[in-house]
Amino acid sequence: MVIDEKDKKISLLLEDLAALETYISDIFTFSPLPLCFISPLGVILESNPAFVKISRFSFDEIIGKAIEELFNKKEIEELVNDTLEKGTIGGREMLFSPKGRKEILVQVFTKARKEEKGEIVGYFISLFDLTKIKKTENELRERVEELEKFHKLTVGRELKMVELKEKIKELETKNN
Amino acid sequence: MGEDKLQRAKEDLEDLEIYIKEFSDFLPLAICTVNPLGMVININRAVEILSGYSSFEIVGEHISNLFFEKKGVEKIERAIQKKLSQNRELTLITRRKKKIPVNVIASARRDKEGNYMGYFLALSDVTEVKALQENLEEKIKERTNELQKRVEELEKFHKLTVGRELKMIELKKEIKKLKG
Amino acid sequence: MLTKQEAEKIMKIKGNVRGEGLLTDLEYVRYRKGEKGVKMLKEKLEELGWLLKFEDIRSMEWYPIGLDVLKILVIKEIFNWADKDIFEMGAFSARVSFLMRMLMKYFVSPKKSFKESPKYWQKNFDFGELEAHEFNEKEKYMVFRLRNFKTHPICCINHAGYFVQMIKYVLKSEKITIEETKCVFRGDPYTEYTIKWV
Repeated sequence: MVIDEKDKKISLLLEDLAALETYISDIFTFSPLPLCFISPLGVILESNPAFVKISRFSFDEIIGKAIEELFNKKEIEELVNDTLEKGTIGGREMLFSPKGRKEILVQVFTKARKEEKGEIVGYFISLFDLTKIKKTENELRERVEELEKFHKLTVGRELKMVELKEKIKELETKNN
Repeated sequence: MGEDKLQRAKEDLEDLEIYIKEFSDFLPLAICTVNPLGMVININRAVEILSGYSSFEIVGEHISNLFFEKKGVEKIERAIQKKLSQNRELTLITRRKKKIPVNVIASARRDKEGNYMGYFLALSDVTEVKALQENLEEKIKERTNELQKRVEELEKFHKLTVGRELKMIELKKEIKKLKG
Repeated sequence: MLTKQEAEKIMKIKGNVRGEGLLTDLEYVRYRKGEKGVKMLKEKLEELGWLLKFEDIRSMEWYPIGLDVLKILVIKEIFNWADKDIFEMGAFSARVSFLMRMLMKYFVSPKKSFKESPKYWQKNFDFGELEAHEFNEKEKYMVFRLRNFKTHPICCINHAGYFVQMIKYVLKSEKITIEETKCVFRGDPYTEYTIKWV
């Protein structure tokens, strides 16, 4: 191949590479869903702004951190093993520990990345924060329970009155 | 050396293409990539699953074709061009013409010079959340109505029989007396 | 019916195409005819003396243009497809070519896309030049000229489909038509496409 032609081809490829890199970076950054990529040893290699936000760490702190620091060690081990076995895991509920905050309930999705020879090169992890949904669910359920309780009490009261009247009738009849 | 550079560039590009495809397939959130003219240029697997369409049925079509609220989509496009992220609810029309309520988040894409290059649109199906809310709210409404009726009945009853509580005490005393 | 001699002649056409171009047509065959169709294509190519392992095709690699031409001719023959199917295959290619869609940063307006289109030609072929000849917004037409690209008449139809789809990415119109107003196979010095819209 002539040098000029080769340079032209390299230049084209590098241009394409830059464009794709921009695309993946944009979509990773945009995703409102917290995302990260961890190494086979469980170290966070990439994290999008949504993941940084939910973790409450800074970007510098989160890169290089072990994923087990954000989850229960045993649970995350199980998750990784299951991901290895099945390839992907969709929607497992787990407890996530943000920095300096109480644990929150999240739904976790994972996918293993393998290279051509089948060796694992890492895992994609995404989280869906269930806090608000659970809160709404609980609030509504509590309200229904309260109302049902109140309902029982008032109905109960009327029944009690009926019961007392019947008791009197019974006793009056007995006495007569 | 030129050959090495060429080979490396090819490999890097291929690797990146595979990475993007895997990432796109993995992403549990439905995301459409739209060009500045509103044409869909890419969708991920989650969009295919949610909408029932295959990629090539949507790619190349206008994004508004996916939604019931055509004006709603226009408003989003106008807003994000003014550098405002958008978050609103729209109705997705699936391939089978089913209507799905979705929460839509849109964010503009810009190049290094800040020129508008289109936008990403993320869709979340809010059907279940809505159904849960509606179901529980319905239950609350029912209970509230029942209780309201019950309260009205009790008030009416109370009006008719003043001092019912005293009456109960009286009845209880009477029972005690009768029991001897 | 294609013969081995004809296939050999086609494979001698000079020039290369990006693997992506081969892969997108395979996807179209898979879409219309399933894996069975892809197998039929592979077997026919083998029969003509050209063993092609589809799973080994790399989107970024360059392959002889003859292979692209031969593949289209074989597809047309074994499935008994008409020109409109080959046109559709070209359009489909522009819808599924991941690389092309990712590289659409110039597709911000019809006029700009028109001006930048020669760059996209270079990403797919290492020979021939696409010229963005004329863009008339008032009369609603644009003209492309393809020079130094003479492969097979079937490719003219395939490319027409591709161009129309690329235009649809940037032009919202009820009706977009394309006409091959000049053709190197009709003795013209270049192939010219005129695209009109309403």
